[in-house]
This record gives sequence, structure tokens and C-alpha cells, in this order.
Amino acid sequence: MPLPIEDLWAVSPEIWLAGLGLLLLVLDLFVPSGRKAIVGWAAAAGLTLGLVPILGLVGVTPRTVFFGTYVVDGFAIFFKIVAVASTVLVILSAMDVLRGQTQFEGEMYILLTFTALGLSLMAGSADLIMVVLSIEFVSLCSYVMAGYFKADRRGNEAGLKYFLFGAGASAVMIYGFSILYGLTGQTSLYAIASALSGAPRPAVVVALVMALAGIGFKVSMVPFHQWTPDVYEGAPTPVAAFLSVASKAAGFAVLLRLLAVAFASAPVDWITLIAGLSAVTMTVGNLLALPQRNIKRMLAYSSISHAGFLLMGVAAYAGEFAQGLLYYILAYAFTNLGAFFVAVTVGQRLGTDDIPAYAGLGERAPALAWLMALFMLSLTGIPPTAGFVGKFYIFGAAVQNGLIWLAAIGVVNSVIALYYYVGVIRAMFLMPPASAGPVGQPAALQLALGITGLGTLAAGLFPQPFVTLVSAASLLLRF
Amino acid sequence: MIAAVASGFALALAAPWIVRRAPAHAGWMLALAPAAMTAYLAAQVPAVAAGSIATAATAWIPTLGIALSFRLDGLSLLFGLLITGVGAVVTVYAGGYLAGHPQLGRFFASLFLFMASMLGLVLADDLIAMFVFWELTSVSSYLLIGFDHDRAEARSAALQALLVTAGGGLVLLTGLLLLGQVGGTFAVSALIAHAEAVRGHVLYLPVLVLILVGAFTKSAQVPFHFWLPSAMEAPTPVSAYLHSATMVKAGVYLLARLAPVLGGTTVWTALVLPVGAATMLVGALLALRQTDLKRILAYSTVSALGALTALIGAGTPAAVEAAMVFLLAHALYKGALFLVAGAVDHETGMRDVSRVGGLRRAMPLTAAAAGLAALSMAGLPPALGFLAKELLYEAVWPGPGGAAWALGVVVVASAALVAVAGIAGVEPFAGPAHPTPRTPHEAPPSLLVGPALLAGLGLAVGLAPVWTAQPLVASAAGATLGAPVTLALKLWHGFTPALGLSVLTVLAGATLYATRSVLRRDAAWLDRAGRLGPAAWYDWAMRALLAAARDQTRLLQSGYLRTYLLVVVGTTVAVTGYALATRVGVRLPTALGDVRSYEWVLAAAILLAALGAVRAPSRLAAVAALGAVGYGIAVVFILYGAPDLAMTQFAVETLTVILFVLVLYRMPRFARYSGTAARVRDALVATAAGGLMTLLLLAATGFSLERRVSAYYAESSVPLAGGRNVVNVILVDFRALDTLGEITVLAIAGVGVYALMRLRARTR
Repeated sequence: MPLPIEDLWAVSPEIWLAGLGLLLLVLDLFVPSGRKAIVGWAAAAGLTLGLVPILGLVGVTPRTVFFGTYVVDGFAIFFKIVAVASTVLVILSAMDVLRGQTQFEGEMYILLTFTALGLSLMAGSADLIMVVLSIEFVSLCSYVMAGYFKADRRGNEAGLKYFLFGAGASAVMIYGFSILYGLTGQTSLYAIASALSGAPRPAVVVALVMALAGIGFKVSMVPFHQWTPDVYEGAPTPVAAFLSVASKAAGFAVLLRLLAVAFASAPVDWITLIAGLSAVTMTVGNLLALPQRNIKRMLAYSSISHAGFLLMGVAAYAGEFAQGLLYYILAYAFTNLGAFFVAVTVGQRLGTDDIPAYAGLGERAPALAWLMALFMLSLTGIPPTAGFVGKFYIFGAAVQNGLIWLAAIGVVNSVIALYYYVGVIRAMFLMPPASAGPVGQPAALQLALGITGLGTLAAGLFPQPFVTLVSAASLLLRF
Repeated sequence: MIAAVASGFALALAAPWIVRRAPAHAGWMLALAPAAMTAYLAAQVPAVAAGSIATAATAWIPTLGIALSFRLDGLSLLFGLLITGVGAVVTVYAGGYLAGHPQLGRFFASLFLFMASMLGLVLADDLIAMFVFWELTSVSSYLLIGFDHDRAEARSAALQALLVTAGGGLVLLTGLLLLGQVGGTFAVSALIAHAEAVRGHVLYLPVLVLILVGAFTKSAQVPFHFWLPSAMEAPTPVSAYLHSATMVKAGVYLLARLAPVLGGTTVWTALVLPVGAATMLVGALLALRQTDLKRILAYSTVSALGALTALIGAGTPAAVEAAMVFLLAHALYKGALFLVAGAVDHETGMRDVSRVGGLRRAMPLTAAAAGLAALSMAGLPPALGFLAKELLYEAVWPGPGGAAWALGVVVVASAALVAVAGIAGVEPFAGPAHPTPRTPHEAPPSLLVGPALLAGLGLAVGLAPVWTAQPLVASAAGATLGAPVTLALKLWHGFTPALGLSVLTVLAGATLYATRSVLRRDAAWLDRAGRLGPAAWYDWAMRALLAAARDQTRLLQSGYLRTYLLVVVGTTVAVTGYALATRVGVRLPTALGDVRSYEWVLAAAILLAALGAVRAPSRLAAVAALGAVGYGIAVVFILYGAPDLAMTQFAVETLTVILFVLVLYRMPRFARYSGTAARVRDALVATAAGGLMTLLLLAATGFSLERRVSAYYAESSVPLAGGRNVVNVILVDFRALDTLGEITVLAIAGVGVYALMRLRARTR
């Protein structure tokens, strides 16, 4: 079977990313320690350039390549953009943190670049084997990054916990996939779709539940969420930002493709299953976030509850368009990255991640505090922020598809979330500062913060261009 | 209109800068903008009264059918005038009240943010755009209530108000989304055309309830009324503006705005009227009990909001007309009284009515304004409040649309409010003077203009309603009713039942006022009742939520990986087991006859070895026992005709045991970390997981698996690869590249281990 040459064009972004990673490995050898930021800037520039081939694919006719194992459609392109762009921002935010804290600064940028490649692969995988390989690729890089500060006890714990938990979840998922393979004799999601319609229902249910375990781990879905706070707290903060946004987004890409393609006509009601998981996930995540005093743990738990909201978007997909889910992911990416970047700055400058330490930030660093307030409001879903439009979209989709009860639970959870998000605003603006003096911000971080803040505001005030983008991207190649 | 709203937001941005440039005159300068907007809106009154409706729209999210569309009809105009007019007055007042405050710039920024949002709210025709402004008013109110952030009460009151109003707003969002779904559009003007379809829809009741929750939280209706008195922690100009004249009326506005769509049904009246009436009564009674000037006014505001809600709930033309007149009257007199309260507080340093008195000598002008406003609040002629009360009585007079119980409620509440008007507007200025923390002087001009203007307007409109309020109120009522209204406002109605009731009310109110000190003492039971009221529910709910969250965290998020695994395994067993039990029905093997004796022995040996691995006192023994389990399974393979698999198993087991021994040799001895209870629990979880896997295997034999997979390999292994051992053929032929990859990984790992060992040896 000859390989059609145009298939190579279809994966040009992935080729670029792989090449970039290798190039950076070589570059890192020649950059003297102490000036490793050069590798970071090179990685950021290279990844930004990587957006060019991705954007070049916009508008391409959806099709599968490489004998049906990989797919190029608007949906995959959207998630590739999210993955690469958030990697760039994370690299920008990481430079100040890594400098002086680890002797392996350059390797982090390279790992991030390779992870971006893995995330792109996840977005386009249309074959069980590709799904497993790309998830494992991302996971392995993430384990290393989570435990990056290996002299730190918490960092160690984070890496090991993430690894053990991830290995277990992967094992269950692969078991589920093997049942799928056994039932259909196929590994391509598209071939499985047609073969599953006649499969025995119980077996399909077992396979689905087990497959959800592995993906649920990646997106921190309850009950596979427990690693999240420990890992976010122990990992370098930029890595936590990365895991909470880029990894999660790619996980949802795989989840939706698996459900919407492979299980499209399977004899199983996955909408109700996902809706139930959504309700449990957002409630548990929210209740866990409520008493937290550490910003990273709070953001970790709140990211669990956002996974619940995203699951609502999956449940409300109903076989047409996934704009709600995609818009929410876009808004969430801007907002959560921004919130984490503020946490990076404060953690770096004040040496603590406790929310009470944010007291008086409104006076000490007004710009930073206003940005954080914006992010907190956006995470709650209060207008005029990106988060509001995202929530509006998802609730709207849920209501339209008859999931009114789920939308109601979502509203109750938004009110609960209001409490702890506003707690941060309260600390920043209403509490007297513990110590005086302005809080400085390094240039790269300022750039990253500016982009996320602008995105959060723009997607809330002028949603139309983003809606257009999302509508174009929501076309998921189904058959 | 778009320009008006946008310029409000621009002003919010510019305010800190203006304050920094001209701190002394910032209030007067900034007030020019809302004053200009008031003039602009006032110029629209004749056109709107004649029935023309101005619209303006700009696309916002066209894909979703959401536009920033604005519509100026009578209802919007009435509210718009209140927002900008009272806004101008309050801006001047705040400039004097907070003069020299270091955060004055932030204050004005928040205030104009609120003003622009509120203006957007009442002008928006699109429900979603309206919701955006709705939540923005909640957020700016949060910032303004918590403005004096040095005090813990201010901080918690701000949070409480935000949680109730913005939380209610999120409920409202669901209601609006459903309404858009039911009516097919988010434009109110278009929804009115589909009103019949909406009211007849299956989802009418959920839509109505969700929207009402939003309106009731915002307008402080029972049982959500408790946040409003707490919000009195805000600086007085904020209380006057947000928490009496404008923001709290947003809920009333929403009800009036959507009345043509959702109203007119039995359910509507049954839900809205009683809530409003209860709020009116509760607010009036609680107001009597207070001695803090601002809390008195807050509770009387709650009562007034209840009256407005009840009138819109009744929905008759008379009721709606009364509501609109009352709305205007209340904004004027309550705004004035709040500003007076602020002036008193500012000049004397306290606002406890039982300890302030005789201020008429020191502050004659303020006293005059307070008296005028109290006149209107008590409903005495010739103030506008009298007109409003007459209309109110006419609206609830038993007959079509009225009911005897409603009349009773209104009479009792009005009498109480007459007394409250006395307490708030007369008591501080009458009687002998008391010593106060500060020696009172007449308030400066900036603190006088506001109350005088508002109270004076209340009188002027009452004296000449035909030229001032009548066209405005009539078109506002018309917009709410969905039909043109002809209204004739006049002070003298003749000897009607309403007049009789007014006289009765004033007499009863005067009696209450005269006995106020006794009432305060005897009404202590209200405090005890208050401890069981909604404010206590809120506190209890907050505490319960936090406690539940902490418990859940302790339970689910202990930080121990073993607990996490317990949850994961437990969930998997429960969910999969449930699916197995209900959907599959495992067929357990029934006949054990063909099991041979040595197989029994073998099974027993494996089980014993497994138990031994768990119970072993040392690591080596445990490893050896595990090895024995593996060997036993290999023997099973041999017995069932898979010698190749058995050989692989033997090799793997041997290698594992050797590796384990090598590694574990240096580990410390076993220690007992867990108690018996934990061990029993672990044993149960392990048994459940093992049992589930067994059941899955048994169930799998019942599935009709795709045969092609195994058949392909079985058939092709000899012709294609020349091997009879299918497993081996798959490993080295069919998936040779995978195997190569695995070997490479193993090799790299081996190199890594070797390097680590060398490193360790060197550091020693």
C-alpha cells in the first residue's frame, strides 16, 4: 500500500512540531547554562510558527489520512490551535519560574514542545491504537514535568502520584479498548461505528465505562480526579496551568470523537451516562474547591468542576454541532491560563500560594489584581467575560436538548463557585494588605498575562469572531 | 441610546482621572453627565407619551440571534429618568459626603459602572443583553457595598448581597434561556407577539418560576429580603441610589417588562401577588422595630418593593397604574430620606433615632427637606405619595382584581409606614436636642441640594400631576399592560372609600408613632422570630455548605494514593457490577462434575499461595508465595493444552522473583502500618475487585465476540510466518515493529538503571 503524498501535507503541523522538538534538543546542547531562556524563546517562536501550517489547513475538506487512522477536520484543527497556543503561553510564563530553580531548564521547553505534538495527535486520532499511543505520549511527558522539581518533596509526590494513577487508568482504558476490538475486529473508530450497532449491549456498556476511565483521568472527571490537586500543587505552576488547560482540552477532543463517532449508533445511551457524570463532577469539584486556601489547589478543584461543565457540553452535543463545548474550551483556556499566570507571578514574587496572601493586591499591583478579578468573574460565568458566553452557550445547548435538569444543577454549581471565586476578589480588593510595596512582573509573564486577559475580555465583549471560529471548527468528521 | 449607555461606561473609566485632577469639585463636575442624560430623556417624554417608540440596535452575536438592541418605551423612560436623575443628585451628594476619601476615584468608577449598567438594563430589548447588564449591576453593587472595606461587616454584607443577587441572576439566566427556547426569540418586543404560545407552552411554569426567582432576589422579596438591610453597610449615597431608587427596582422592572408575555394567568397572580403582599407586610413591621435610621429606611424599602410586586402581580389596569405612580413617588421620597439620613450621620456622627433629636435648630434646611419627604411617604396631601396611596387603595378595593385580604394587608402596612415616616423624617429633628459625638451644623450645599430637590419634586408633582407625571406614568403603565392607558391624576377624588381608608391609615399610623418607644420594647419577640428567619437560613446554609465541603474533602481527598485507588476501584466495581447484574446476567457454571481431583488440588495450592503472599511476615516469603501462584497458573496452562504459554509464564515468574529478591534485599523489614479494620476493608475491596474480574470473564464467555480476529491469526500463522505458536508469531512476525520498540524501551531503561547504579557507586 503506497502512502499518498497529500497525506503528508495533512500532517505538516505534526511534522513541524516533531522537527522543532528535535531541533531544540540539539540547540539545548550548545546553549550555556544560565542562558537557557534562549531555548524557551526559540521554542515559543517555533511553536508560534507551527500555527502557520495549522492555519493553512483551515477550510480543508474533512477526510481521514494514513489508511483511516488519522483525521483532518475543523474539529481537530481547533484543538491543535488551542494546544499549540496554550503551550506558547505556558512557555512564556515558565521562563521566570524555571530560571534558577532547576538545572534542567532547557529540557522543560523541549518537553512542552513534544507534549504539544502529542496533544495535536490526540486531537486527530481516529484509531484506537493512535488514541492510546497519543494519550500515553502526552502522559509520559506530563509525568516528568509534574515531578520536575525533584528536590522538592511535594514535587516528587506529584510526579509519582500522577504516574501511578495514570498507569492504572490507562490499563483500565486499554482493557476497555480491547473489548471494543474484540467485539468489532476493528481499530478504526469509523469502522467500529458501523460494527458496534449490532453488538451485544452489555459488552458495549462495559467497554464504554472502561474507556471512560482513561480519558476521565486525563480530563479529571470524577471519580478519576483525585490526582488533580496534589499534582497541581506539587508541579511547577506553569505545568499545572498546562495540565489544566491543554491536556484537558485534548482529552475532551478524544472523548467527543470517541463518543460521537465510534458510539454514534451503539446500543448504549451515552448521553445520559455523560450527563450523570457531568452533574457529579461539577458538584464534587465545586464542593472540594470551596474550603481551599491555596490558590493552586482551589484552581485544581475548580478545574474539576469545569470538566463537569464541559461534560455538559458533550452530553448536549446530540449529534449536530459542538459549538457550546468548543466555545467553553476557548473561554476556559484564556481564563484558566490567565488565572494560573497570576498565581505564577504572586507565587514567584511573594513566595506563597495562599489566598490570604493576595490581600491588598489591588493596591500593590492594581493591573494584576484587576486581571485576576476578570479571570475569577469569567470562571464564574459573570458577564461581560468570555466565561459568560461559554456558560450561556453550554446552558443553551443543554436546554435545547432537553437536559434542563442538568442546566439547573449547573446553575446551582455556578452559584457555589461564585462564593470561592469572589473570595479571591475579596482578598485582593477588600482585605488590607499584609505588607506594602509593589509586586513586579517579568516581561515574558506580562506578555502572557496580557494575551490571556485580552482574550478573556474580547471573547466576552465581542463574541462574534470567536463564534464564527468555533462554528467553523465544530464540524466533526463523522462517517 | 447606545451612545448614552456607552458614555456611562466611558465615564466610569474617566472618573478616577477626573477625581485626581479636581478632587474638590469632582462631584459637581461628574454630575453634569447624568444631568445631561436626564435632560435628553426628559426631552423624549412628549414623543413617547404620544406612542412613538425609539429603537436602536447593533449586532452582537448574530449567529445566536443576540443583538444589542435597545428600545425606549414608557416603562424604560420612567426608569431611565429615575436612574439618570437620581444618579446626578447622588453624584453631587457623594462628592460632598466622601470628600477627601483616598478611594474617591474608585468609588465614582464603580458608581458610573453601575449607572451605565442599570441604564442598559432598562433600555435593552434583548433578554440576553439585559441579563448581561443585570449581572453587571450586581457586581458593581458588590464593589460599592464593600467600599468601606476596613470593616468586616461591610465585607460580609457585600458578599451576601452578591451571592443572593448574582446567584439569583444565574437562575434567571436559565429562565431566560428557556423563555428564548419556548418563544423562539430573545427580543422582548417579538416575544409579546407570541405571548399566547408562551403562556400555553408546557414549559410555561418552569420559565415563570425561574424568572421570578431572579426578580425576587434582586428586588429583595420574601424570603430573599434579608440582604437589603445588611447592604446598609454601604456608604449612604449608595444606599440611596442602588438600594432604594434603582437597582432593587430592577426585579420590579423585569416583572413589569415581562408582564405582557408571562402575565395575566392565574399562576402568575397566584405566585406574584402573595409574595409581594407578604413582603409589604413583613418589611413594614420590621421597619417599626429598628432604631438605626438606615435600617428603618431599608425595611420600609423592602415593604415598598413588596407593594410594587403585588400590584404588578394583580395585573389589573388600576393596579399597574398605581404601581407606576407609587414607583415614582417612592424613588423621590425614599431617595431624599436616605440622603437626609446620610447628612444626619455626617453631621452628628450617629444615626440611632432614639438618641438623636432636636436637630431642627442646627439643621433647619435639612429638616425641611426631611419633613417634605416624610409627608410624601406618609401619604398625606398634597405630596405625590398621597396620590400613590389613593390609587393603591382603589386598586385593591374588593371587586374585580382586588380581595379583602389584600386590602387588609395594605391598610396594616400603610399604617406602619406612616409611623415609619414619622420615625425617619420627624423624630431626629423634633423634641429636645441630645448630645452627639459631633456638634451638628447645617449640611454643606452638596449634601443639601439632593434631598431638597428630590423632596421638592415630590411636592411639585403632587401639586401639578397633570403636566409632569401623568404622560410619563400613563405610557409606562401602557407598556406594562400592553394597551394604551388614559390616566387622570388629581389630588381630589371626592369622598371615595379610598379617602376614608387614607384618613383611617393616617390616624392609625399617628397612634403607632406616638407609642413607638413602647412598640420597640414590646416587639422584642420579633428579634427572636428573626433568629428563625431567612437571614438565619442563609447563615445556616453557608455553614452547612462549608461543613459539607470540608467533610467531603476529608473523605475523598485525603492525599493518600491508597484512598484514591479505593474510590476508583470501588466506583468501577459498583458501576460495572451494576451493569453486569442488571443487563447481562452472568451464567455461573452449574456442573462441577468434570473437574478432576488434581485440578482441585492445584486450585487449592494457588489459593493457599495467594493467602500466603498476603499474610507473609517477610518480603522474601511474600515474593516466593507470589511466585508459587504464578507457577500454579502456568501448570493450569499446561493442563489445558497451552505448553507454549506455560513456558513463557514459567520464565517470567522466575525472572520476576529473582528481580524482586535482588531489589527487595536491601529494603527494610515489614512494618505494620494499618490496623485490623483497615485490613478488613482492604480485603473486602480486593475481594470485590477480584470477584468483578471473575464475573467479567464469565460474562465474556457469553459474548459473541468477533471471530475474525483470532481466526485470522490462527489461519495465517503457518502459511505466512511458518510458526505454529500463534502468540510467538504475533510477537515476532505480525507485530514485529512493536516488539522491536518494546525491546528498545527495555534496553534504554536498562542503560538508565546501570547508569544510576554506577552513579551511586561513585558517590559512595
